[in-house]
Amino acid sequence: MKKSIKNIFVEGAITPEKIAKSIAAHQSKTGIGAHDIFLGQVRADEIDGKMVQAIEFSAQKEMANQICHDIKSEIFDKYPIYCMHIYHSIGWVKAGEICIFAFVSAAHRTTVFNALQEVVNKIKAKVPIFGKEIFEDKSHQWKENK
Amino acid sequence: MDVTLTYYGKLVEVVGKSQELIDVQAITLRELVLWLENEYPDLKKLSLKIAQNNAIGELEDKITSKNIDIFPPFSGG
Repeated sequence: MKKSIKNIFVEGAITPEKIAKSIAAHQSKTGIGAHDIFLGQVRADEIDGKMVQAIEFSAQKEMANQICHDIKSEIFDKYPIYCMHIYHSIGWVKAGEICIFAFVSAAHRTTVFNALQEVVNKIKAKVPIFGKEIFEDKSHQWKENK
Repeated sequence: MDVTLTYYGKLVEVVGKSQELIDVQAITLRELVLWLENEYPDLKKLSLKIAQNNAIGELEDKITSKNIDIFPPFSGG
């Protein structure tokens, strides 16, 4: 069965409530013994004496969704996982708020530790998303991934 | 050949627009990159990625789509 391409994008910050609901939705899947979750949070970096107030994310959404779909397929082929979810913010996310949520579930912990790390690294490297760091004085610079 | 270029992230500021329709003789993505660097010399300092049909292309690839995306380095997550 070919899975349909899902929309990974959430307007604004990803709320703790969304994350909690996502965890709760897995309680019926009792073959799962381990979840691993990555949450990326916007840092209030200080650059040249100015503090980052927020990041505004933009993307080539159609391609981003396609690439995330492909990443999921690769991970499902490589690891015995039950399910995987990827969400990323679009638009404005303030410092301290969550902008990416990746969630992998499997029978055992080693599987999810390895799979999740690979998922997050692939998202950072392959998905066309762009972050603009907005400072308190409304000036900005374009984020670069380390 | 008419091709619509769409710029993303920082590139919108570097080239001063988010989209443009161009008529180029380019056959490959490498030739398109040369056209871009000639038109917008500031792009030479950046590491560009070029995509068509929602996939990143190699410089040797032939242009097969009328819509091409020009990306700066990705910075999601």
